[in-house]
Amino acid sequence: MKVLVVDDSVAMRMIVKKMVKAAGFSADFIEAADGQLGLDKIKSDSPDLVLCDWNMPNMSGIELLTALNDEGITVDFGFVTTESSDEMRTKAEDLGAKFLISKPFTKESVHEALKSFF
Amino acid sequence: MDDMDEEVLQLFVEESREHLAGIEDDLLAMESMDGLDEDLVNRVFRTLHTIKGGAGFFDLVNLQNLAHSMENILDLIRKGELQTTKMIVSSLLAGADTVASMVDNLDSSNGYDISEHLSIFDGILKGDLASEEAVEVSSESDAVAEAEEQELSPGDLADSEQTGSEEPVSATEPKTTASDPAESIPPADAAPVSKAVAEASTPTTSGTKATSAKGAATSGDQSIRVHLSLLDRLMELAGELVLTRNALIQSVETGDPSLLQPAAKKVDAITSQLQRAIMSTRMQTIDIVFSKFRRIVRDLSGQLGKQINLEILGEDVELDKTIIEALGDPLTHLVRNSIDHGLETPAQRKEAGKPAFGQLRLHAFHEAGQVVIEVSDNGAGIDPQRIARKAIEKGMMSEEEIARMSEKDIVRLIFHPGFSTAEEVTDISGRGVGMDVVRQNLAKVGGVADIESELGVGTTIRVKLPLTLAIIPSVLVGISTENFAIPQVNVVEMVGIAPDEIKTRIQHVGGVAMLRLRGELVPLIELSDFFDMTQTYIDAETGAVNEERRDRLSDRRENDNSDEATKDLRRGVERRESADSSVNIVIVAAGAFKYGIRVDELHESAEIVVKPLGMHFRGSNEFSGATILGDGTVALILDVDGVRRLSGASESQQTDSDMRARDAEVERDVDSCSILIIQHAQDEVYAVPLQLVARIERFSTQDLQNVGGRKAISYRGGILPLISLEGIVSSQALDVSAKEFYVIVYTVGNEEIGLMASDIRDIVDYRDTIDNRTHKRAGIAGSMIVNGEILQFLDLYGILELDDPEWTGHLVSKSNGETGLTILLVEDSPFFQSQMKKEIEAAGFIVLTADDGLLGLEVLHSHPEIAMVLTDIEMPNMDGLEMVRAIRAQPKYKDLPLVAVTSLAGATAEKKGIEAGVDEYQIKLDREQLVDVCRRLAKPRAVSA
Repeated sequence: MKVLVVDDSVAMRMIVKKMVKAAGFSADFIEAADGQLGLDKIKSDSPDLVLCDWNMPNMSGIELLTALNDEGITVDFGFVTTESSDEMRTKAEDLGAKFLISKPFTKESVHEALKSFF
Repeated sequence: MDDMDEEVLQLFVEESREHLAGIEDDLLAMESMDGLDEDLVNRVFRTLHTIKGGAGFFDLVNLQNLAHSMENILDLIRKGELQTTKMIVSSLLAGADTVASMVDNLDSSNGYDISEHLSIFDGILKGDLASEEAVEVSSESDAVAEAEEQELSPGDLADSEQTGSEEPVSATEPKTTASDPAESIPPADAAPVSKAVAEASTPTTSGTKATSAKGAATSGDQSIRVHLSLLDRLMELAGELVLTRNALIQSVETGDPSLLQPAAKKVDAITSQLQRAIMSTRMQTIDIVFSKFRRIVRDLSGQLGKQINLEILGEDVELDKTIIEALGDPLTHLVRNSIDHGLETPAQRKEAGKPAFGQLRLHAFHEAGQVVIEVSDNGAGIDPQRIARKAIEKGMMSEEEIARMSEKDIVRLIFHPGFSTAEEVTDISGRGVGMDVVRQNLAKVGGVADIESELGVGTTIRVKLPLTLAIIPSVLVGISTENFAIPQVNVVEMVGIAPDEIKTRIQHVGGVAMLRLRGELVPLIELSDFFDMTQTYIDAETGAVNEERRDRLSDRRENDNSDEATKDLRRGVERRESADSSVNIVIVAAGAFKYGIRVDELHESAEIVVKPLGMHFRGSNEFSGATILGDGTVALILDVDGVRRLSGASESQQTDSDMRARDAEVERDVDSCSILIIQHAQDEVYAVPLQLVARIERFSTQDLQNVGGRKAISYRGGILPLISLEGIVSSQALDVSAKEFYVIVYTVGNEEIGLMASDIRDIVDYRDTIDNRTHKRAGIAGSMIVNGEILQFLDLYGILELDDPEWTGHLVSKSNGETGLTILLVEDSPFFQSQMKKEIEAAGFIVLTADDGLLGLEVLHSHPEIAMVLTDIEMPNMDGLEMVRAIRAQPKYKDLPLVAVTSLAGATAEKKGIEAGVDEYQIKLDREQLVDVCRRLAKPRAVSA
């Protein structure tokens, strides 16, 4: 299982990785620091799952997802953000995101969101 | 998530700090920008977003909420729905300060009261907050943040209150009187100023506090960013080191000594490269310090109603991390001084005919291997009269002393320890204390400050700093059984005094030993007295180390009879070193003050690695650190300024007129010449006059560069052209088998040239005559015999002309046509006579010579066209001074330029010469100066027969 974590913050990437592990899953992690780099990594490393931040420099999460759709690349893709709104949720789902994990993060909620992919 | 470990938390803190470091600049840039820079706003937005995100994970509710509400504001700005006003930026800056403080104190961040911030941001969001009102609220919330800081360290507030009142240098306030420092700036201004300062420096202070409160773990920069190529370089060097280690091990195991030598040399070379590479990982740009001044200048000038344009230059100059960290507080003090006292209000400036906007400039640049930082303003400047009055009032100086000082020196008094009104320095930050503490804090990292100010025009403070502190070139000396290191920057010279000279050179006055050094009196310090070391001597016969029983120099009970004292000293010395019982003295400079340290042994000069001192030495000012020597022993590093303070030696001893009088009695001018002996190849040695040598450096052959077809080396931030004797005066190549070479740096015109040598052999005082016939040729001025070896005496300017005629253009001495002027040269040494004659003739003068003073007078009388006289001092029959007096006694020669040339210049000799009627003193072999003085002084004379 190869999981790509896309987030511009090193700390957040580490948090996301720990979160996944804490939820009881094991995976090989690869990382990218913004949407553009994430897109490159998806092409070069073909991850099984992408956990992506919403707000990033160069290319945001939504822009990355749009680019994937435009290029016809299919990959399990979900957002991990600190905050969410209904508006965000709708937009993400419209573009084909599989989930949007937001606060509060608990082992249970993360497990629930990710269990179908492991 | 409760199982997020410390590691992630630490990462979050570091990352947040990194982001926050830029937020201030970005916010200020947003304010000063007319339109909307989306990138900029996005960057600020993301900073807050990231912090908010992380805070959310760690349940740092307060931090999350504050970041969130700020993020909202930025979102509106980003969308163009909100205009960035000064008030909004102020509120965001205040908010960012609190965020930074919370990040530094995560544990207590939930206890912060952020309601003020939140209500302001809410108000902005709703758009129903009048800007005036908002600014006030926002500054109030600053006060809250400030109070929180103060709680942690109650001393701060008091200090910052002093700040505004004690500063003596305001020239703009005529009513300021030194007798009442509290009035130095109007009370109405004092409060906001000190508050602003406290506020402006909050981030720094809080950082420091976090350190002291929670230990080093949270002290900011635990990690550092290094360029990948640098790491590659380090890896490469480590690889080479491994290979060399293998060679070493093999050599030891096989017992093959032939492998040892090259391996050792390689270790030497790799180590220096490794050292340089690692050092560069510690280098940081000074922008880290400079950038925070944008905010400080903005806030302070706003509160004082001044208009200030801050110009920052050279922010990419790099310095060692430690130095960068130590610079913040002293520079803040200097900048604050400029804003508080230097720069005037717009009204005052208009009145003075200056533009309303004051200019404040921070400029960093490289100069001579050091980094210079200038803080300059075009404000009111400092009135030397005021400084003088205050110095007199405080009893630091007498009126008489002041009268003798230049205005520049008077202004420099503000660095004097007695000048500040702060009696006790409690806060090492440099806030709330005077300029002497700025000076001291800079001195701790090897910095030197100087000031220049012109009344009504402005003030410039120049700070010189070393590039790094970790490794410093030092001189190692042995005193008693201990080794000490003296930093090379403090060493002025090393003096060896022959046994027969001790009596005339070392004297005791008022219980203080003084060394007579070229007409100057330099106090001597006996370190064993201060450090309570037992003075020892090595028994010449048994080799045992015995305790010295003679009186110590400063233990002298009753007499200050110099004969007694020298006898004592000689006795001790003779016993200690019976082989050649000369006394070795290292002359060091602590600021402008020079003194000598008597040492038993002069070891080598070496680059030493500075190790901090342990707990027990905390309070000691005499040592700045320790180092470990090649043989594993420890040597303490002397702090020459601290030693001076400990010894109580002061300038007054140096200017004692009584001493001067005694000085004159024993002064004798010896016609000798210090020469440096250098090696070019195996059996080729040359002599160079030491007076012309500016410095001696050592380089690795790998550092050699080829610049425009000539050898050169990167040196002190510039390129130093090199010259090799090969092909000029020698047919042999420079011996660089050691992979290293020396460079003798000397000056031609305004440029420096380096002469390459394979080794430095010795420095000797040469008193015999120099043979100017046997070996004389182009580039070689003559020859001499030292210790049975024939040395060729190099003509440093001649070799330059031989090497590359193009250089000739730089030579002052190059003839630009016949001057038609006649110069009389009176000199008894054939070598110097012919040398100088040739040089002056080459510059286009007609030269007449005479071998002593009597002959000189004769020639002068028979040649009325003589436009100038150059004379040696020590000569048979009639010496130079006598001749000068005889010439000056005749009215027709009252304006004739008379220049004395000596090989040893000294203040006393010079004074005697001036009294006799000499116009100037020059050193015999400094051709450039010699020709320059001829050009300046020789004037056609109205011939009256």
